[in-house]
Amino acid sequence: MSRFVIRRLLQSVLTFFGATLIVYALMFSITTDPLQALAGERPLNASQRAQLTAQYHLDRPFLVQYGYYITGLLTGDLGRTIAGRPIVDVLAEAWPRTIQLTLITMAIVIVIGITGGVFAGLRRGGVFDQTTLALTLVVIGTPVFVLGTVFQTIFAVELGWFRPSFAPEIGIATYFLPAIVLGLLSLATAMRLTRTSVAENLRADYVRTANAKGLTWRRVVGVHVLRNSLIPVLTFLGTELGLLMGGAMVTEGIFNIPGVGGRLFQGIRLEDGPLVVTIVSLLIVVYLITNLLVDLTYAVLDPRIRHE
Amino acid sequence: MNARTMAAWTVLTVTAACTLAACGGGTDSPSPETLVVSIGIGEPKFLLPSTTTESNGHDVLHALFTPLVEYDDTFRPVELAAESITSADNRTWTIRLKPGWTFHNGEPVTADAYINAWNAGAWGPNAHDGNYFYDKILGYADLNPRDARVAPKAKKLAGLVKKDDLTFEVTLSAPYVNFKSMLGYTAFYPLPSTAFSNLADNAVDPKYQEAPVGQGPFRMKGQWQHDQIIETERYENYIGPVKPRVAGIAYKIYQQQTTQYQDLLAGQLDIVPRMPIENVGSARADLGDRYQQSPSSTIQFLSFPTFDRRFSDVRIRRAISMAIDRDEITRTLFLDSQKPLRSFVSPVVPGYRENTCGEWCVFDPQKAKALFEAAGGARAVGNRIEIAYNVDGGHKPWVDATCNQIRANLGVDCVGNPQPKFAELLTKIEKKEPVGLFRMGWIFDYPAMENYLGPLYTTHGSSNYYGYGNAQFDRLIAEGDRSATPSEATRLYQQAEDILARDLPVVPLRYDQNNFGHSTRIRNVRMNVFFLVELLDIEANTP
Repeated sequence: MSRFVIRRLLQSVLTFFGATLIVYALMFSITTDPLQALAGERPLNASQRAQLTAQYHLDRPFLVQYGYYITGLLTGDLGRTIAGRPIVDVLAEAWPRTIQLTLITMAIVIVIGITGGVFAGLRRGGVFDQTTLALTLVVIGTPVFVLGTVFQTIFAVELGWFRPSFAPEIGIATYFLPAIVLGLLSLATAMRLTRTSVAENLRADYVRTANAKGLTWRRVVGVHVLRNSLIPVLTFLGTELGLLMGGAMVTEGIFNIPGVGGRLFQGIRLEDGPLVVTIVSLLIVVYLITNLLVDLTYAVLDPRIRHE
Repeated sequence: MNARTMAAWTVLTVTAACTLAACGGGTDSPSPETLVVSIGIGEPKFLLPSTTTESNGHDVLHALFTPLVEYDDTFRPVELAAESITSADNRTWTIRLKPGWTFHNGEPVTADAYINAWNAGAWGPNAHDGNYFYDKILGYADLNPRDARVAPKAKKLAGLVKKDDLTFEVTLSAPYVNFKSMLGYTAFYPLPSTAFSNLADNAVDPKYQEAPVGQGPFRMKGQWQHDQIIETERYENYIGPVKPRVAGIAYKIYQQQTTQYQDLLAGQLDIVPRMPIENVGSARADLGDRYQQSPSSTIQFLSFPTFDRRFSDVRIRRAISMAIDRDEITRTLFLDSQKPLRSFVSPVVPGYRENTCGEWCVFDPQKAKALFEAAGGARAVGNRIEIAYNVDGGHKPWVDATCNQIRANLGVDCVGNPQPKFAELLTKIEKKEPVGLFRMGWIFDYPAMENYLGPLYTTHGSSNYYGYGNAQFDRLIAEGDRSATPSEATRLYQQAEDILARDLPVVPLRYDQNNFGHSTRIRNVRMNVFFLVELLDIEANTP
């Protein structure tokens, strides 16, 4: 077990550096003129251009620029955004908000998604199953910006149940509406996955055996079926966690949450290489860790899986 | 996880109950003594006067600082923080400050406060965005070497000389009649001595802009909370002629303008200064007379690259201009949030005349077609006209509509040529790639015709990307700049504008309007030609 963890962690280091190099190269290749992007449609004068180019090493070749970046990263200096703010400060403000949003979203997805999925799976073809099938299809087919704007208009502007935008003064409640919007898509997928998985496992040999042994229905479903059914759902949720953290860009934008997604969008728009690469690198770390955790949980859920 | 969900649900229920019972709602009428007006903006890039050249930063600095001059109804400069601004020859200007003004930290506003601030802005190694504003002042070149590795020859502008505590003299490198008009711009605000980490080296303390100290009607309340809010409160020792009538201004920072509108409807925001086109359609119904319009300085036009021989015949350029129905596009696509433009400057500068473009900007499909055919027709432009634009600015709809009109009226294929960003478009034009016509917009820095004509159409103009050059035009602008009186200057600038109508290097299309809305809590909300909310006019809406 520990050998497995160590091996995975070592792989993570390699993955991390490989990924930053690729992301940096991608940013570098799409970058035409970050200084002009920062200035907008206004002309930059020659002396200002010369100063900024030297300051951000923009005239150096790709590998040298990457070298500066990695050296900074390893010495704990994440550098500055193209507007001059320390990237550390930007991230220290943005991450907690994104993490709070993600956790609330995950809570909604897990509680409603899995419960609903189990319920639908147990009564396959029933009214509940049919209704959720239709609803989840609608949700999966709706782009998140439509869903977000509609929910914002109905529940915040018309009904006044929530604030339309981020309001830190009302505490954690400010994340609720965005979390519902953000979670609906994952929730729909999680529900469909659980339902299928449960329905399938109900007909498995071991369930017939368990029933034959005279175990209670509650124990058969709660322990035997559920435990096995959760494996695919868990895989999905693991990757979804990383996706939610980075991919909340649209939702964060609609509800004006100053989280990581918004900073990433800003960075891409301003061709801010260091900011984009730093955020993406951190997202990669999140992915690596959640994937490791998911792999480890497999062994707990299914004793046949062993990490040796 | 269950505990967390429980907590969240509890909070949700409480919030819902709270909102339904309207606790802390935004519709109660507060007294002027406590009313803090919230205005929606985007995240400013900087909050230092000499680095702030975009509207979000302008909004905030507008509350914290008072400029030397303001503008009257005819857009002429009038002294505000200055007692007098005089010049005998338009080259050496004497600026006398009003006595008794103080910065928010108590420091008196002196001539040094201006001289220090302008020197720091002009100092090349600082690379401030507003650097080019000082390029008319004597000694600018010595502070701005072309090569960043070379140390500048001087640390201070030779043209700035202190006479006494409240008077200083500005010498320009050449006479410039509009200098007084320039002084209303953000770059010409003063800075307190605490803004500098090293005054001799023109070094500004990077922490200054986290809580800028100015001499304006409002002062910072706490720090700039990035991506969230910038709060200000009334500065009690403000001695300007008009005092604020509200307790403070809070600038709420938004990632999207559409969210501002939702917040306005929900009573969480007082002013949406830049209403996006998505909301303009419903704004009149939603807000009634709380939705307003006023003219602004932005103009939109299409330009013909001179290196592209397909457009070198003026008849082709005129035909294209006459084939465009400006009124239809502004009415149907922009819902009158923008207005048709038939001149080369915006209506908000002294000397503006309507329809200087004349018959070439009047929609006339028959004449356009005849002229086009006489100039060689579709074959002359390679059977296809392209209009290049940047996709990040929402330009696709009107470019497509313009193309449809050209296609229908001239009988030549016309397509939009999307480019990811304006910077990329410029790079291609610099390399003389045939991108077709391309779109451009221009916002003035100060109300003067020259602020359009100089940068956009003189041969070496900073934004003359299309390469237009006309020696007589250049001469008229230069003469106008050097002329003795503003009216004489206007006459020369107008003569120059007439040349543009003849040469038609660009096709004027539209000028922008401020489209803004406000909540029921306040009244007297106005916006000026600089896209700024007139903060001192705002009053609480007491029933």
